[in-house]
Amino acid sequence: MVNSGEVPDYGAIVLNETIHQPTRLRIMSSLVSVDVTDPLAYGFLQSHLGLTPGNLTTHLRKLEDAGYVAITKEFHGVKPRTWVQATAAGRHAFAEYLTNLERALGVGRRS
Amino acid sequence: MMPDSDDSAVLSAEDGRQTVQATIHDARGAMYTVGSTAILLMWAGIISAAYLAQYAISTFAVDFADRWPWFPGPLWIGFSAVGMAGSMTIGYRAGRAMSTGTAMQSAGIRVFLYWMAVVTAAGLLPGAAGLWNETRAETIPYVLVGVIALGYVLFGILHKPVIAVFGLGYAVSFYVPHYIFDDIAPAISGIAMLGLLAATFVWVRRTGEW
Repeated sequence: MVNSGEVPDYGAIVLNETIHQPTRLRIMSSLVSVDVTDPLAYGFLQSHLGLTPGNLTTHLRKLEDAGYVAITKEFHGVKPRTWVQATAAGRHAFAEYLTNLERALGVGRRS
Repeated sequence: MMPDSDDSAVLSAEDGRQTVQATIHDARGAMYTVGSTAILLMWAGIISAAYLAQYAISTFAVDFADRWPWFPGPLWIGFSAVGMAGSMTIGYRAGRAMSTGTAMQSAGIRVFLYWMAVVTAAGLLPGAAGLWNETRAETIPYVLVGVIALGYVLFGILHKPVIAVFGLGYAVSFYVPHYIFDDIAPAISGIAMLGLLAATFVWVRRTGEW
C-alpha cells in the first residue's frame, strides 16, 4: 500500500505533498471529521492513529508550518492538555486535495 | 495500521482515498465509543456484585427473601441506576479529554439517548408482559438482561466488536447458569461475570485500547 519513491504521475494534476503523505493524511482526515470549531486532543490523535509522540509531533509541526493546523496548550489544574485543530486554510487545502484526488483517480481509470 | 512513515513514503491516489475514508470512519467511531472499555469493566463489576448480592440475600436472609420474593427486580434496578450514573460520568470525562467541541457533545447525547432507550425498554417490557407483580417479579431479570445484552450487541456491531462480545458474554453468564442451576445460579453468574471482567481487563492490557 505504501511505497518509497516518487509520487505517481497523474498528468497535470498535482496532489498537495504536505497532505499526501500517509501519516499526515490520517492526521488531517481525523481533524476534518469534526466540526470547524472543534479541536481534538493530542493524546486522542496519538492513540487513535497509533503514533509515537515523536512521530506525531514531527508531522504536526509540518502541518503547522504549512498553516494547516493550529496547536494550543492549556492547563486543567496541574494537567497540561494539548489541542489540535484544522485551520480554515487546512480545511480548504484538504478539500482541494480531495478534489484533485478524485480527478487523479479518474485519470488513473482512463489510462 | 499504516506505518509511521517519513516523507519518502508515497501513496497512490487510490491508497489516499481509502486512507481518508477509513480514517474518517474510525475517528467518528472512536467518538461514540470513547471511554467504553472503562464503562464495560465497571458494568462487569456492578453486574457481578448484583448477582452475588442476589445470591447472598436469598441464601443468608431467607426471611427477607420469603417476605419480598420480588426483591431481585428492585435490586437490579438499584444496581443499574448506579451503573448508568457511572457510565455517564466516565463517558463525560473521557469525552472532555478527547475534544471540547460540538461533535463530542452531539456524539455524547446520541450515545446517552441510545442507552436511555435500552434501559427504558428494559424497564417497560417486563411491565408490558405483566411481570411487575409479586408472583412474577423474580423473572424480571430474565427480560432486563436480555434487553441490555441486545443493547450491547447492537452497539458493538455498529462501533466496536469487543462490546458485542461483552454483550454475548453477559447474556451467556446469566442464562446458562439460570437454566442449568437453581438456587446457586446467581452465585455462578456472578463468578462468570468476574471471569468476563478479568478477560476484558487482559484484553485491554494487551491491546492498550481503552
